[in-house]
Amino acid sequence: MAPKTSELESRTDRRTFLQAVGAAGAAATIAGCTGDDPEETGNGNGNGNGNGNGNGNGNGDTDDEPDDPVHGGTLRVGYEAELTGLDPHNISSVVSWNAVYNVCETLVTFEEGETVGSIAEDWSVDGLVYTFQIREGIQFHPPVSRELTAEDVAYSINRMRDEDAATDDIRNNVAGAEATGDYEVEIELEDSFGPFLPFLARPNFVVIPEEAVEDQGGEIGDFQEPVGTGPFVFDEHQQGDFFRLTAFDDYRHEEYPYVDEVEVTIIPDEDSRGLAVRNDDVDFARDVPYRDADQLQDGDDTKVFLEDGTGWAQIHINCSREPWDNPDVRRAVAHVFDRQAVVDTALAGLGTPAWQPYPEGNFWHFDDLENTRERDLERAQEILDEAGNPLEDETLVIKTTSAYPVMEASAEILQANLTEAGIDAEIDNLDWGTMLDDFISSNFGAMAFSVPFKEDPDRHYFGFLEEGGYNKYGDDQPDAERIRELIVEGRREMDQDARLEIYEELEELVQDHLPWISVSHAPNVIGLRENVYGVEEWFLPYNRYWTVWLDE
Amino acid sequence: MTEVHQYAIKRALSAIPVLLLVSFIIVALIRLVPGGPAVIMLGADADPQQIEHLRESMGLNQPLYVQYVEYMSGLLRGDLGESYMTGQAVSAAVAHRLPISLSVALGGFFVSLLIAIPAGTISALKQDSKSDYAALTFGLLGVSIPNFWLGIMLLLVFGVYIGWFPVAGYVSPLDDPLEGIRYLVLPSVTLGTAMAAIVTRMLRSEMLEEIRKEYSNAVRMKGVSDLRVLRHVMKNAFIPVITVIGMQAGYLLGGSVVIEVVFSIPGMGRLLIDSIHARDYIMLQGVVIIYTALFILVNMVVDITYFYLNPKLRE
Amino acid sequence: MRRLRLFAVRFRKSRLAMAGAGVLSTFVFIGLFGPYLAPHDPATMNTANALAGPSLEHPFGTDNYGRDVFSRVLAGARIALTVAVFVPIVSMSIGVPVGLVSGYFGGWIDNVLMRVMDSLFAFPAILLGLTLVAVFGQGLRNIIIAIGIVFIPQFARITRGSAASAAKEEHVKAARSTGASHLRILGVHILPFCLSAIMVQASITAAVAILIEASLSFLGVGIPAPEPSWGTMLETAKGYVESAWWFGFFPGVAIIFAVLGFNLLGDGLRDVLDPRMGPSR
Repeated sequence: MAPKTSELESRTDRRTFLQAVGAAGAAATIAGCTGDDPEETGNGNGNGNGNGNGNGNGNGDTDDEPDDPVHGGTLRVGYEAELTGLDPHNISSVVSWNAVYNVCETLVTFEEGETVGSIAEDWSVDGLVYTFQIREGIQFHPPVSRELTAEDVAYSINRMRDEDAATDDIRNNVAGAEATGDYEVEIELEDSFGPFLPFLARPNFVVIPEEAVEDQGGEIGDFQEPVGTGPFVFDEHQQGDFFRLTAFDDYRHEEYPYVDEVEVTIIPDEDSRGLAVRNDDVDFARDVPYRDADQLQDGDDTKVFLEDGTGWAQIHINCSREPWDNPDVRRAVAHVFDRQAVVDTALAGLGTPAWQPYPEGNFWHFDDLENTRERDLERAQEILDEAGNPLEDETLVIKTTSAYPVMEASAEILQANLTEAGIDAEIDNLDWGTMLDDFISSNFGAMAFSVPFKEDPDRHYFGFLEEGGYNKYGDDQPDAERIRELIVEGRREMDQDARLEIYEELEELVQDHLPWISVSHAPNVIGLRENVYGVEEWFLPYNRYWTVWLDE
Repeated sequence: MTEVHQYAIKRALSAIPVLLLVSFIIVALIRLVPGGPAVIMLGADADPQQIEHLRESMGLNQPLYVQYVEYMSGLLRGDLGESYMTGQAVSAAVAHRLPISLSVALGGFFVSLLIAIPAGTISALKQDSKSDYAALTFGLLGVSIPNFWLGIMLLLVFGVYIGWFPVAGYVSPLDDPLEGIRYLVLPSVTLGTAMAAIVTRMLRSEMLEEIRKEYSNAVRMKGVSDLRVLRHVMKNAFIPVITVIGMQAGYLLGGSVVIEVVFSIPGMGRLLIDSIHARDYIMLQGVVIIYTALFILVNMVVDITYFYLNPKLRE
Repeated sequence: MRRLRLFAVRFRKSRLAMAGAGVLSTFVFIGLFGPYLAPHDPATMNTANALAGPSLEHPFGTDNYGRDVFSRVLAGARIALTVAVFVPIVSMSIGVPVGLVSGYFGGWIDNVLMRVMDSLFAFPAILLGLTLVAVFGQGLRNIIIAIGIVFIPQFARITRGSAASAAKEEHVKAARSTGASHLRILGVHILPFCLSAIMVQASITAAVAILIEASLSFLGVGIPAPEPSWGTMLETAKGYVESAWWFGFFPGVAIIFAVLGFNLLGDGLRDVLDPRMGPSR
C-alpha cells in the first residue's frame, strides 16, 4: 500500500465526506470499492445515536449490498483490551460490558434513543415504586434452560445491591426488589430518581438465573461463565487470547442472530487491529485508529463503520486552584482554544468540535445555547484586560496523557494556542494511571480528559459539579448555589421534558463560568471486511453482533 | 566428579543469592510505583471508598516483607499470582507468551551468527581489505542504529513498499512453519543486527590475535595446511566470543521488548509494557522476574560452557 | 604532563578518534546552538500543513501537528546531549567509588559489593530502565537517573579491575608503608591509574544511554510529548510510517549520528590509550 501522489487531495475529500455523513447523524457504512465520489457512496440512511440508534435501517447503505441477510458463519472480532471479567455485576470495562450485552438482557433497553421494554413488556410508576410486567416465554440458555420469571429479576436486582457489586447506582438508589407474581416485579427506590429507567437499560443491569450463579460459587465476581437470555450463549473464554459465543437457538427473536458463532480475539495494539482487518484475520475490529480510516475505506476488501459521538473530550478545570479559580481566566482560555485543530489532528477530521456533552441530534443536545465560547482571540484579550490581566506572571499547566490521542492533542493544541496568544503555558504529560489518580483526587489545574458517551446527563454533570466533585466548583464561584440546585433537580424530576429544561439552564451556566471546556465529539471507527453487513449502532457504544451477517 | 561438574555446582549455587536479591529488589521497586491498579480498574467513575476497598482485597495494604514472603512462597509452588486487571494467572500468561518471545530472540540469535561468523572471519583473514573495512563499518553502524528505528524502516521497505513480509503480527512456526518464519524474518533481522555487529567486532579482533600467535607457530612447524591453521584459530578465537554471545542473551531479551512493540507481536515484551501502563503489579513483577531469571540462567550456562571449553581456567 | 602530550599526539593520529571527535563536535554544537540554527520554532503548530513532505521550507517535512521536523530534530539534539553527558556522570559517581573500594581493599568488602553489582547487572538494561522509570516517573531528569543506575555495575567492574592491579604496584605499596591514608592512596595513586579505562567506558555509556533513552521514549515511558526527544518523535511517527516516511526517518538518522559519534570516540580512545585492546567489547 504505497502512498499515492494524490494522497493528500483524496484524503481531504474523504475526510470532508466522512464528516458530512457524520454530521448528518448517519451510521455510515462505506464501501471501499466505490472510489472518491461522495454521491456514489453517501446514501447512508441510518440515524445518528442522538435521536435513534440501532433502528435497523442503518446497515449496509451501499449499492452492491445483497438484499437479504444470510444465516451462518463465524464472525471474527478484534477487541482493544482483555476482558476484566465476565460477571455482569462486577465488571468495569467497555469490552466486558460489550461481551455481556450480547449474552444477557436487561429489563429495558434503548431503541431509537428511547427507553423501551426488553425483558419487561410494560411498567408503571407509583411514587417511588416501579412495577414491571415481565414478558412470558423468555428462555434461559443451557444448562439452565427454563423460563425466566419475576423471581429472577428480583434476584438480579438485589444481587446488585451487594457491597462488592460494581453498580453503585443501584446500591445508592434502590431500596429493594420483590416478585409480586410470576410475571410481575416491584422495584422500590430510595428517593425520586429521574434517570432510573435509562440507568436500568445499561448492559450491567442484566437478569441472570440464581442457580447458575450458585453453581459457579455464588459470590459477586464468581459468575465468570454468564448464563442469560440473549441472542448468544457464552461458550469459552481463554484469557489473554480469545473468547467465543455461539448462537442461541431459542432466542425470542427468531431471525436473530444471523451468525452461528462469534469469536473475539484480543489485539491491544491499535495499529495491529487495523492490519488484522486488512490481513483478513478478523472481520470486525473495534476502535481502529482514526488515521487508518481512509486506508481501510480505500481497500478493496475492507470498509469502515463510524459509530458517532461515542466519546466526549473536555478540558477539565479545578475551580478552586489558582489561577483557574478566576472565572475570567477560564473564559479567556475557552476563547483561545482551537477545537477544530484537535479534530483535524487527533481524530483525522472524523469528529466534530464540541461545546456541550451531547452531539447534535441527541435528545440532550441543546440547540439554542446562547453564550458558546467560540475561538475569538480579541474577545479573550478583552476579558483578560477587563479582569486586570490575571495571567501576567502566571504559567498555566495542562495535564494530559499520550495514552489517548485526543487528550494529548487537546493539551498540545491548547498550549500552542495559548502561547500564540501571549499566555505562558506548559504541558504536564503523565502516564494514564497517574492521570486517572490525579483526576479522581482533583489534583490538577487543567486536565485534558475524555469520557465515553453516557445515557443520561446526570452521569456527566452530577459527578463533576456536586459539592466536592471533580471540578471543585466551590461556593465562592458564580451561581454555585443555583448549579447545585439544578443537578439535584435534574435527578429528582421524573418528566423528561422538564429535565431537558433543567439541564439546558445548567449548561448555560456552564457556558458562562466554564468548570470545564468542551473540546470534541469523537466517533468510534470500526474496521470491517467487505462482506460484513448489518452492523448497527446502538445508543451506547456497544456492538450488537446479532444483527450482523456475512455474505460469503 | 570432574572439575567441570564442581564448577557447575558452584556457579549454580552462587546464582541463588543473586536471584533472591534480585527478586526482592523487583518486588520492592514495583511497590514503589506511584498510583495503584485499583484506580485504573475502576476508572474515572470510582469513588475513594471503592478504591480503598479494592486495595485491601488485593493485599496492597500489607507490609512489604509480608507481601514478599507470600509472593516468594507462591513462586516456589509455581504460583505467580493473578493479574489484577483480568484475573488471569500470571504463570498462564507467561507460559502463553514466553515461547513467542523466545522464538523472536532465537530468530535474532540465528540472524546475528549468520552475519557475524562469516563477516568476522573474512574481515580477520583479509585484514585491511575492502571487505574488512565493510565489516568494520557494519560493526560500528550496527551498534549505533536504534533497533526500533531499523525495525520501522525494514517494515516500511519490505513490508509496505515491496510487500515481501507481513507488516505485523505473529504466527507460531510450530503451527505453520512457512508462514511462521515469514512473520519472524523482519523481527529477527531487526533484533539480530546489533548483536551481529558486536560479535563481528569481537570475532575479528580475537581471530587477529590468534592468527598472530598461530602464524609464528605455523612457520615453526612447516607442512601444516592453511585450513588446519584456520580451524585451530577459529576454535581458540571462539572461546571469548562465546562469553560475548552469552552477554548478548540479555540484550536479545531486552531488545525483544522493543521489537514486539514495533511488529505488534503478542509476546512477553508486549505484556510487560501493557502491565506497566495498567499498573498491573503482579503481572509486571512476574514478567520482570521471569525475564531476569532467564538472563541469570543463560549467563550461568555461558560461564559453565566457557569453563568447559577453556582448559587454562581448569588448571 | 608528558603523558597528556603523548595522548594528544596519539589521539590526533587515530583516525577513529578524530572522526568521533568531528562527529561529536558537530553534535555538541547543534545541541548548544540548535535553537538559533532552526528555521522554525519547534513548538509552533500549523495543523493546516500537517504531514507535509520535505520541501525547501521544511527540509525534513512536517509532523502530525504541522510542526517543522527539521527544527524539532535540531531541538532534540539538546535532550540527547543532556542524556549523553549526565548519564555517565550519574553512573560514575556511584560506580567508580564502589569499584575503587572493592578493588583496593578486596576481601569481604569486595565480595559484598560485587554481589550487589552482580544483581544489578542481572537485569537486562532496557528492562531495568523500564522498571525504574515506572517507579520514578517519566521526564528527562528521571530518565537520566534511571539509565544512570543501569550502568553503575559497568563502571564498578571496570574500575575494580584497574584498581586491583594498581594496588599491586610498587609505588602504592610504598605509599602505604609510609602511612598515607587510604583516601589519599585511592585518590592520588589508584584513581589516575583507572582513568583511561573509565574514559573509554564513559564514551560507550554515552552512546548506549542515547539509545536507551530513545527506546524508552519510543515505548511511551520515557520523555513525554511534546518534548522533541528523538525517541518520542519516533513513537508518534510509527503510526504514520505509511503516509509520512519523513516523520520517522530523520529523527532516526539523528540518533545514529549522535550514537556513532560516541562509539567512534570510544573505539578511538581505546586505541589511543591501550593499543593492545583492539576494537572489542
